[in-house]
Amino acid sequence: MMPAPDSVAPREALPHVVRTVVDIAASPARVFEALTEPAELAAWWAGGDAHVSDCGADPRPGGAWHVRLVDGNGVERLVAGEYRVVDAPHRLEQSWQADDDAAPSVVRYDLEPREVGGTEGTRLTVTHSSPVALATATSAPGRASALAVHVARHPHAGPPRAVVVGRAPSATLHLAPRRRATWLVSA
Amino acid sequence: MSRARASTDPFTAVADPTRRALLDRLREGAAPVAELAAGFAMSRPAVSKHLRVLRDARLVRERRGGDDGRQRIYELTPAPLREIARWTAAYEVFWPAHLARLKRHLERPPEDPTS
Repeated sequence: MMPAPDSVAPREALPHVVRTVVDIAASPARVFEALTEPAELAAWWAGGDAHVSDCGADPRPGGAWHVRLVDGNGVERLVAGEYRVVDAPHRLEQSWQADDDAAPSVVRYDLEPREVGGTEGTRLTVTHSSPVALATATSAPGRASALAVHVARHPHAGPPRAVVVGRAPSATLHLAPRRRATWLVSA
Repeated sequence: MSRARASTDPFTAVADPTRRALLDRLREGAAPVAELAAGFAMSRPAVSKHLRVLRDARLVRERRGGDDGRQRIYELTPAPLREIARWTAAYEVFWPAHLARLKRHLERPPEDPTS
């Protein structure tokens, strides 16, 4: 039986970019280090019942990176890609392919110095462009900047919060089971 | 869940505005090519080409219909759209948790080597 077509709501319901902002009480140089050094990645990528079994980073344009996680059930997940922009301590951009993503995506980190809790800190803005955004930018060059205009900034000092940039994601009302993604969300 | 790749991935297929409009139209129900083409300022072969991309991405399927069974009718198949929704939903949850870990890591007080 087909579900009612309404349940998938493709009408302009395709969010393109997930943007998350976080203020961290550490210098941009220190944050940049944590984003690009294998020992650092191994330290903070682990979480919940998952640990990092292997990771590597070669932070220069074209250099590869990967993180391999193993969860409490012994299920292994790999996220990997290449660095595209390495501009310490301001900006980092890397391609991103989790082994259960259908297509690669791109993650960009922007680091701005800012006082956080009375000390030298960093506002880190992470922009994760979905495969749809990438395909859209490729198929119509004018659209990439249009996407940027859509971006709603949510500066705040609280816990990080993801903002979907683009149109109302009504399709998310009827998701396929998320079991393949649960490893991503263990805190 | 299969990871088998269609010859076109759904992400690329929906990036095109005409194809998104076709999907929109098909939300209202299955329709023959002629009817779909009527709603667009482009030739029927051009519309057919877009439909073929959507079919390759498994976003729509084609069946025979009409009185003589010779019409090609297109209808929506929702699974790949769910994959796209899943991507966003997963990363909307992932990033705040992931960056909270980074923040904790970086704001941890320095370890006291004597303890």
